[in-house]
Order: sequence, then C-alpha cells, then structure tokens
Amino acid sequence: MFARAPFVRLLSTTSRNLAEAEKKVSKEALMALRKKTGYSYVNCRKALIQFGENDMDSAVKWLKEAAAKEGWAKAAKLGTRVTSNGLVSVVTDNSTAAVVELSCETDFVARSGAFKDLLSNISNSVLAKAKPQSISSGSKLQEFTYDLGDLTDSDGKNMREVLSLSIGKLGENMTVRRVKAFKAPEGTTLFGASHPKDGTDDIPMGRFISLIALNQSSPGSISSQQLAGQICQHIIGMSPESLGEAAESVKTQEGLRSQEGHDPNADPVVVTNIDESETALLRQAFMLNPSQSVHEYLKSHNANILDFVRVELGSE
Amino acid sequence: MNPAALSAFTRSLLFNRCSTSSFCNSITRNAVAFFATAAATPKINVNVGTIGHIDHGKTTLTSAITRVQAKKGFAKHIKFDEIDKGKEEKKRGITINVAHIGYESPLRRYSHTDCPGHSDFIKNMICGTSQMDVAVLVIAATDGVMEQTKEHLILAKQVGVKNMAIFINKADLVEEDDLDLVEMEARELLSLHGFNGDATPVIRGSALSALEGQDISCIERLIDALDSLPEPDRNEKDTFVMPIASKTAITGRGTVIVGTLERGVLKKGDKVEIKGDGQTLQTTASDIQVFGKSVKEVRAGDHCGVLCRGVKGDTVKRGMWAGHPGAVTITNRVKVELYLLSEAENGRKIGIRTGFTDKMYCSTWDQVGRFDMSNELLMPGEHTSATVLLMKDMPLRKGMPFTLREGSSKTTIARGIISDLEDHVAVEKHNLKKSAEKM
Repeated sequence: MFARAPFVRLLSTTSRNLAEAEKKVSKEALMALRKKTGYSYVNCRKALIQFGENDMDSAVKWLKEAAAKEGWAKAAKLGTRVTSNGLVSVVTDNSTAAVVELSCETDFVARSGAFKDLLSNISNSVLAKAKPQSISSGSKLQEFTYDLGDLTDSDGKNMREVLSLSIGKLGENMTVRRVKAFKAPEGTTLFGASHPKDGTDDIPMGRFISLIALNQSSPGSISSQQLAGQICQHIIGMSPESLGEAAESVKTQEGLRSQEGHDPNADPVVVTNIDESETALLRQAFMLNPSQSVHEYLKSHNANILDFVRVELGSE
Repeated sequence: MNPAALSAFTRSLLFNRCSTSSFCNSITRNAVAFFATAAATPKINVNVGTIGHIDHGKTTLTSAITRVQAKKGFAKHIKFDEIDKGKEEKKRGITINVAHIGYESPLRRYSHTDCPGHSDFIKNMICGTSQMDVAVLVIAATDGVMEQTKEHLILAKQVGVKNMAIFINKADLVEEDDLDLVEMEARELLSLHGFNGDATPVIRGSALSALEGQDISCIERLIDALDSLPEPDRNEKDTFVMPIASKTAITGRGTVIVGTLERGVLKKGDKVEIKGDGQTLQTTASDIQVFGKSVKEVRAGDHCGVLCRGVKGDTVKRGMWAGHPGAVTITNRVKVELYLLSEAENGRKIGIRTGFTDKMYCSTWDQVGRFDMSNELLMPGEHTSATVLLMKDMPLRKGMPFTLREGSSKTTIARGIISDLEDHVAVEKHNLKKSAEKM
C-alpha cells in the first residue's frame, strides 16, 4: 500500500503535464461523458485527452474497452475477499425454475439496482438454458447445476465477462455460488417466492427463497398463485426439512394462555405458540392459521405438493 | 474513561435499569459520580459514523483522525488494522460487530463508528450499541459517486441523521476540475435523498497523507466542519420520571413507591402523578427516603422510596411510572423497530409472522402485545418496523428499549426500541386481534 503511492503520484504528475501540453478538457465535456457512460471522471478525462471533445463516439468506445480491462483486473485483485452478503433469486416458467445465489461484500451493494439487475440477468439466462431440457419421469423435482461460463446473456455475451464488468463497476468482489435449475413432473406447476421481498418487479430475490411443485385438481377459494405464495412463505418461515407423510389426524396446539403482568386477577390472553420441533412440511402447523396442518390447508383447496426447495443465503 | 466507553456504558445502564439488584444500584451510583465530573466540562457528545464504499478510505480516514487528534492530546491513536478487525463480542446474546472509537476537539467529544453494513448498523442501533447523529460520506475522487452510494444515504436517512459532511478522499491524485465535478455530483445526490446538499460541508484531502503525517490540514478542516454542525437534540429535560419497581402501603399515611429515578429531580412536597395500568393518580411526595434516611431531594440515578399521601396501596402496581404532572405519557399503541435474535444469539430457529402476540418487557412493566409488522414475515437475525398494540395504557417514551420473551420457553427472542407513540385504541374483551383489525 505505501510503496504504491509514490508511483501513482508520478503517473498523476505525468498526466497533468500531458493535459497542459496537449489540450484543455472542459467540465461540460466531462459531465456529458460521465452522464452517458457512468464511468469515473478520471477515466472520462483520459478518454477526452486521447480523442478530443469532437469525437465522443471514439471516447465512449475506448471507455467501454477500458472498463472491460479494469473489470477483469479488479475481479482478479478482489477475488480473495470474503463475500458474506448478497441475494438468492428464484424465477419460474410453468414446470421450469431457476435458482441463483449471488453474493458480495456489503449489503449496501446487495441493495443496489445494479446488483439486482445482474442477478436478474443471470437468472433469466439459467431459465432460458433449462427450458428445453428434457426430464425423466418421476414424482420429484429434477435438479440441474450449471457453470457460469456456460451461460450467456440476451446479447450473447458470456456471463463470466458480465460478472467481471459488474465487479469493476461496483468495486466489490462478487461470487456466483449457486446456479440451479429445476424441472417439475408432468401436470405440475412450479411456484417460487422470496423473503424479504427484495427483488425486481419480475423476479423474487431475498436472503431466502422457496420453490414448490404444486398441482390442484380443481380451483379452491383462492387462486393457485395466492395459495402457492402462502405455502412458500410458510416454508421460508418454518424451515421444514422434509415433505413428510400426509397424516389425516394432525396434532395441533392451541395458543398458550398467559397471565397478564403480575396481576393474579387479570384475565388470561392468548399468545402465539407454534410447535418448533416438527420438521415435516405436511405435518407442521400452518403458519397463517396454526389450528390447521399444512396438509389440511392444502386439502381444503384441492391441492397437493409433490416436492419443495428452500434455500438460504450462505447455506451449503 | 473515553467517550466511546461512556456511550457503551450509558447504553448498558438502560438494560440494567430493568433490574433492582444492588449491582444495578452500584453502577448507577458510579454513573452519577462520573456525570458530576463530566459536568465540569462543557463538551457535548456527538455520534459520528463514516459511510461510503469499502475501498474509498473510510478506515484510513478513521485511523488518520485518531492519529492527528492523538498528537493534540485529544485521542488515542488507533492503527489501521485494529479498526478493520472490528471487535466481535457477544454481550447478552447480541453480537456487536462494529468498532467504537472516541476522539475530541476543543469543543466536542466524538463517538465514532466505521459503518460496516446496512443491516448490522440498524441492528446495533435497535439493541442500543450504536447511534449516528452525523454521517461523514467518504468518496474517493478517483472513482467518484458509486452506484451504491445512494444506499449509504438511505441508511443515514433511516437512522435519523440530519446533518452530513462529505470527505473527498485521494484528492492528491486527481485534477482540480474533476474534484469540482465529484463534489457537485455528491451534493446533488444528497439533495436528492432529503439532505441539504448545498449547505453540506465538503473537505478535500488525502486520508493516507494525513495518516503518514504528511498533510494533516484536511483532518483539521474535517474536525472544524464537524464542530460547526448543529448540536443534536437530546431532549434532556429536568422533569422527574421514575418507574415503580415496588410499593408498600402504610396505614393512615399512604403508599411508599420504590424505584430508581430515570430523569430529573424530585423534591419533598412536589406534586406527583402516577400513571399506567390504565390509571392516573394524583398525589404529593410527602417524604423521600434513601437507604432509610429522609432527604430533601433526589435526582436521576438515585434509588429511593417516596411516600405518596392519600394513595391506596392496591391501586399502585409495579410497572406504573411516577412523574411530575404531565411528565409521563401513557398509551397502548406504539411504533417500534424490532430485531429478532438469530439462532446463534440463542434466539428462535423459525420466523415469526405479522400479528405475532407475546410478552413485551419494558422498564419495570411487562404486558402482552400484538406486533403488526411492515413485513409479513420476520426471520431470526432480521429487523423490521412494527406497530404494537397492548392490552392497557402503559408509560412509554420515544427511544425506550424493550425485549420480547417467548411465552412457552421464557427466553428472550427479540430486542426493540420505541420509535414513536400513537393514539390510544380501545381493546374489547381482551381481544387484541379484533382491535388491531378494526384500524
């Protein structure tokens, strides 16, 4: 760190001399180029010195190439840094779904629009690649794992390159930890949801996502979308570890009756109480209505779950 | 004791205030002694946080400040790598993951936080271990404003920062025109997010140069800028307030209430109002005793018994508050910021849903409350805003901490802070859910 400073200062001095010798770069031109490309004023200045203010197109082109180089360099430099923040996304299309986990260094970056756009880009790329995939018969979800280098964005650009460009732009190390696709059996539809609801308009993103394979023999009192949303929320909140058997008689617990303060004469009040030890999804008390089991709730809406997936940011 | 420790010490008092142990009294006694000493110095305490992109020099700037101020006798120098480590501690089940640093100027005392992340800071604020009155936005001139800089400003706004300063770092590596443009862009972004961009002080400099001792003038200018910002509101009134920890009825004379003064001064003969548990009682402080001896007055931090003339013993309950008339506000509806303890902090394994109902412990009272959250679901390790509805009107104040304990296991599952008081809502036949749904 200390050894590098004098060298950088020397470059800066050289740059200043060049500026004075060749041409004056105006603030207006710098602002215009920054607004157009989003790149730093320092790099905009370099481009304008090289191509002049009358050749904006060449300056823009040079800046993009410089950004690509800087992106790869920054990705290499930052590659060892821990990425403990980020988001997980889930995107579905009928019987195909993609789940992608993208992590970064701080949650400031994870909250930014550029990060979500990148995750959205990767997710859509995975979905597009998975859709033509054929599946073998069975009652469970089929899972596929892809490599980032095998994916391209809608412009045909390799996703590894897109990632390094984003690293250069946001200045933090970023890692794609999970690239999964899922296929559901015939006659089943996939639904996904996230928590918190931090995604874009099209794609749910959050620290948690859940995905369910649902079929419904006939419409219930609410739409499939609504029903699936509720079940997904339950799965995120209650952390089931398995689907479990569809037991008819499910033991549920009433809310505990709690004495008010220290007053022995006060009337009891019902407080929330849910059994935390049950880990089979269908046997769990339903989070939105704890007097029913998940199975009972699904049954009342003529629905059935074949399989589910729950992913938490940073988990194995 | 340095200012950062004072800040942490003061915060820890809030938690200890809920107990009536002698250890608690010992701490409050020491606190009084310290405050008496501190009162001789007119310096106010200001909480400063540095925000900005991780490679723009926040940590270097923090270290440089302590180095420059240390040379003037105003701070202990904290080396660069000591800040980045960030002290990971577990205190009452809470992970404290920010570094606390203190320094002074001739005018003020600063408690400084190097802000690591959005969620981490909010959590620490809710749990009482961090606060931010002023934010210093650090921007490297070589990069300028970043895509995620607006997220830093959103955090500052969310935690109630009203005044900011901007430090344009690495200024020695960039042309003057570029510095002008970076400054202009930063001011515009501040104005876009609810701050007064035009009035915000901007300091150009190099934190690295200052740390190396080459050019410390930028640090001096930054300290001057911080000193010039408006004083934070502290709402420290003289009005007497005391949560009641216990009571004893004395036949023919009244009821003695026992507790520790939270605020203000109480004198013998003062009019006193006792509020809470849905009641308001008017009385007078006929006598005041501290450890069995009558005294003429008591002040914040004193543990005492107050004889309240004409008050029947069975109308006063632990959890009610005594205060000068008008000093105690009661309601059964508040807005809160809530942090649900993670599993690693001995919290829950599963999330809670909006509408969650359980025991809320606050001051010396506890009551069942219903929490309607801005998010449908809250997972362990997360925070949210919520509206709380209680069965009865209780004494409440903005900024007060509380805890949530699970009914079945009696363990603490959440910590929170009152962010606003709302109007009373009638609760019919003990049905919190029905009353909440009517609104």
